[in-house]
Amino acid sequence: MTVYGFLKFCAEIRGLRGEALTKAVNRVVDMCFLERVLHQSVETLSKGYRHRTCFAQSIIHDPDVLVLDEPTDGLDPNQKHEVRGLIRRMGEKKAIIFSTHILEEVDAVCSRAIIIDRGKIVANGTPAELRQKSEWAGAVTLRVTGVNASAVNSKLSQLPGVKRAAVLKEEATRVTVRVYPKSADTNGALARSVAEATHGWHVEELHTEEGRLDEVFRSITMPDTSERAQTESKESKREPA
Amino acid sequence: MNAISNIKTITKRELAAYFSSPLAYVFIVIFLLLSIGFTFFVSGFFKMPVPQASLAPFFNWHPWFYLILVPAVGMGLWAEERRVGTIELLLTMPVTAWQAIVGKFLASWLFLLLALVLTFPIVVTVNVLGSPDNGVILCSYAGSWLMAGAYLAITCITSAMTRSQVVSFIISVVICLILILAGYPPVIEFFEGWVKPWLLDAITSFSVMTHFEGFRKGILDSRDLIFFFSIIVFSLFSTSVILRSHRAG
Repeated sequence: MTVYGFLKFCAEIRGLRGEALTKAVNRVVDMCFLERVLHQSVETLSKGYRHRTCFAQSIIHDPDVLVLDEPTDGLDPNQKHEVRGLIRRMGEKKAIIFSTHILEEVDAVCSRAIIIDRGKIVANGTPAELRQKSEWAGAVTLRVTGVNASAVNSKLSQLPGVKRAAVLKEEATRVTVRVYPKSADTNGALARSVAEATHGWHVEELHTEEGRLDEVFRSITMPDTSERAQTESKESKREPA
Repeated sequence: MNAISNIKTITKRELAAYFSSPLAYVFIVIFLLLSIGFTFFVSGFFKMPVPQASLAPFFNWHPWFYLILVPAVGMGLWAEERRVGTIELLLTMPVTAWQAIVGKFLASWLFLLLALVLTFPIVVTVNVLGSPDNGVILCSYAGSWLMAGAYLAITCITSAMTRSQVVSFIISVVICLILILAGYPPVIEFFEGWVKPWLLDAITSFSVMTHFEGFRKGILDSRDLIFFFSIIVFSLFSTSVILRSHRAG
């Protein structure tokens, strides 16, 4: 059965006929970039194309709600990019719920993320809100040359609003330090005070970290490692914009 | 109305699937070669003791051809869907299991009808060479198609039971063989004498041979019709039970 035949069958079984059917098939073929394989047998398709064919049949009747299970699983980076773009575009008008273990995806397409650990919801919010839970959120990373690491460390630790400072890397003359704030929402205040403190040093890099989702994910679901390995799951949800 | 259009859609897809694979062509060619070959060379179409314009030698073999060929047509119906996993897709579409079962069955049955219709040259042949009773021939064709339907419905059950087409094929061949043998003269003779007459009747009345016999003679007996249709309905019902149990598990 060819991709075209399959999509036509799916449209027909969803009750589409005549012009509406042709239109629906053309629409999903365009959306999922299937023109090239339209008359190829489904069995001979690569995994990416098969995936997209399946995706195409699921949106052929233009549903309001879509539930996807790891939609980018097994795709190459280009295909992943395409599928994410597709989800983002469709999410403008529809509610799409999908599960994923790939956290960059959450940043790329989600308007809301829910972390489920062993069947319980352990976090629920926008990706930005989740990132705020990270210890890194608002931390300032600084790279300077020509200064002694311990001197940098002690000076930065004493700044107001600083929880602690840690030396990440120490090369011959170059020191990389990360300064963690007491409260996450610093509005760049921490970066400013660090910048002032660096007076006289040769600064190569200074930036405020955004929290990282994978780190948040780990800190939330870590406690029981052995069990976690089997049940860890991450779900994300994109709501209509 | 919706149910009928769903069945039609599924039937269309299945038929298209047959013809997009070599199976359809291989099947039709082999069926035609076998049926014509056996009629002329094994049954001796031209060497009948009493020369007559009849297609009896042609239809005599049908229960045996179907024994192998019909399970071959039907073995993939559900087994393949289950193996590849497309069964989930099919059953999550807005179709009921019944519609899917009937649609698939009809597709295969129509396909068998096509193969049967393509044997028309032999009808033309007897009509050119003599003046046969075309009513009997038509009746035999109807009986042959019904018998094929009964085999096919049984194959549907075995196909729904397993993921493997080969297993499905073998089991349905065995069941169909039992259905044939129950009315096969040597087997009847074997039971005769030591089995009570009512039991012998029960055994032979389960045979497709016994019920095909009437059609072959041009007798349209309601009992024969009921027999074939009840096998088909019962088998399709069993198929739906099996599919539902998979779904629950």
